Amino acid sequence: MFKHIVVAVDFSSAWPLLQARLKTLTAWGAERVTLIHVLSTRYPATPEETHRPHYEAKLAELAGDLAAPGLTIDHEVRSGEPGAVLTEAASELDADLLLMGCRGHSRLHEFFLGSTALDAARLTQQPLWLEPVAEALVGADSRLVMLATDGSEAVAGAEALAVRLAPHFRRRLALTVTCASDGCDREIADAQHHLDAIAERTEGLETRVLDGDPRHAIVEEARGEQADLIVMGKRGRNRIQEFLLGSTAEAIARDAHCPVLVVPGEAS
Amino acid sequence: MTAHQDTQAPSTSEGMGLFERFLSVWVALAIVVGVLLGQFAPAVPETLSRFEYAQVSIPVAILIWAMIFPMMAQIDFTAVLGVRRQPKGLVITTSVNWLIKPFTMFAIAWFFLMVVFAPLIPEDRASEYLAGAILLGAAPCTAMVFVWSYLTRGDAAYTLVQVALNDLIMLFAFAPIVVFLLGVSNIQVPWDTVALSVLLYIVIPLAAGYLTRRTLIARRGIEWYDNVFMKRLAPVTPIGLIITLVLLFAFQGEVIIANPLHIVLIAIPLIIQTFLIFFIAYGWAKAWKVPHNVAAPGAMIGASNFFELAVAAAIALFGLQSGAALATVVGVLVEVPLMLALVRIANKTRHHFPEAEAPAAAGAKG
Repeated sequence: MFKHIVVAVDFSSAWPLLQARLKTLTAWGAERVTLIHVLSTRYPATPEETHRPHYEAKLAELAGDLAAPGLTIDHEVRSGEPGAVLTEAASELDADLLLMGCRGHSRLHEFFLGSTALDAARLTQQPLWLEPVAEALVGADSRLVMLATDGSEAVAGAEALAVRLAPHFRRRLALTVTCASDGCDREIADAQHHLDAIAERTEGLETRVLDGDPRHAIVEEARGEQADLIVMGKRGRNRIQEFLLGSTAEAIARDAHCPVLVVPGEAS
Repeated sequence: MTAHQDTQAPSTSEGMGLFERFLSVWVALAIVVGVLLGQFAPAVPETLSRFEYAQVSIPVAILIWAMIFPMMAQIDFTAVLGVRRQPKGLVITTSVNWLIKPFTMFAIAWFFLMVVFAPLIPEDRASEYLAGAILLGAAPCTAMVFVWSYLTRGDAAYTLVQVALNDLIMLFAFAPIVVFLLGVSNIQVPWDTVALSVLLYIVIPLAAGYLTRRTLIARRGIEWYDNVFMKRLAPVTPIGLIITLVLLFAFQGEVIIANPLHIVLIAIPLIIQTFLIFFIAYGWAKAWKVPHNVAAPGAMIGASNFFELAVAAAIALFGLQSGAALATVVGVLVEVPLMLALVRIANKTRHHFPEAEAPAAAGAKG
């Protein structure tokens, strides 16, 4: 499924959760895992260069814990703006997946310190798996995978990946959020037609057309259905729109109770 | 293993957080909010300014410590032991920072503020602006330079050694340079006032930062310190900076409204000085065949200012209402656009410099 997985390691107490998720993902056929720790340069941080040997040794320990037959584990310490460095590393190493933890921060915290996970959701060129490490109920179950699509070309990569992931889950659900109220028959028919086309490629896929703001509707549906993974595309927005509105992927990653797999249009 | 190196520099918008990327915007907003506060709720800044002890404003002291302490707590001063690393880069930047920059800043600021702009700025006000420029020139950048280093694919370990060395030199060199240049400008500041400022805003935060770092790492470990404690402490610096600027402009409102052009006039010598120092350090590095991953951050450290300290010293020495404090804030206002321009120049001229030695192979096989 994902041959090469890059994992962001921040040495927080969330590592066991991320490690459990990594175990599931490697069981799906990974051949290589690269653990990366980033020494932050974000103002007013000073990259802890004198601690670099310590972190290299700690990564080597974690790599030892993850060792398994047929699995190559690399590790490295980099410095820079964490979200940018991690997405850049995933591209440079030609990874199939970037796995990282995602904490719910306050808007004030995000403004002053940013959020590595949300920056990565904005910048990633590879599929990005955001694991909600602050969620107490999170588990490594594979019951329901939920694809959120708007049918555009930008989410084709997400759709393709969801189809490939489907056999690993007991239930599969694809949904589109559009105008689904009275007078929107055309939009509803188009959305359903697109979902039916995905269903033809995916055994046992349930489909749904929802109404409302996609950022809220997707999160609510995932919570109601107790989804174990949301798969979604990343639409290209220009920088001004991103600054003013934030991306849908960012908003869902911020609020979702379960992991979110963000897939850029180009990735498949 | 060495820091990851790549000749492909990150784009500036991707390599910076929201706060630092739009610092000029936040400073401009702080000016507006501060001026409005001063005009419509003057009781707030007046009340705050009454809390004094030994002629030191307590709210201002708290805000300044809030700005500076987290930076000092994060710098590992044992990094200076790596002083033999990149000796050419260290010689260039240390010389530029302490033997050239304060004096070119004084000369350029004096020429523009006291001579060229003499018809536009009253002499006493111009002297205060000159004092602010001197304070900016005497304090080399401590925190934001790591962002510039990253954006030019600089050697982070060299950058840390240079910053740690500069901060230790600053303990001894800041006060004599400031007193000397202010004296040359006929601005009399008592030695004990300068010494008190250095004690309050350099020695105490540096010592407190060092002790905090040592104690907490010994008790709780490196990972807890870096990834829990410092992450909680870090927002304090930008919050302290913005509140200080709002408070400062609550006192500066009338000056800004009466003379908005002054901000532009102060900015001109600061911009010229920044470019001049960058090209001196960068050109020197090229002449000495210093690799680009040292030349670029070295020139950035030379060109940029420790604006948080300059603001603190200006307020402590001359007061919130002073022209010196206003001049240091203009330094904050122009810092990011100026440095981003230098980042672009550095990245476009990378091919004129020798490449850094290839990093050791990263990673281990498990």
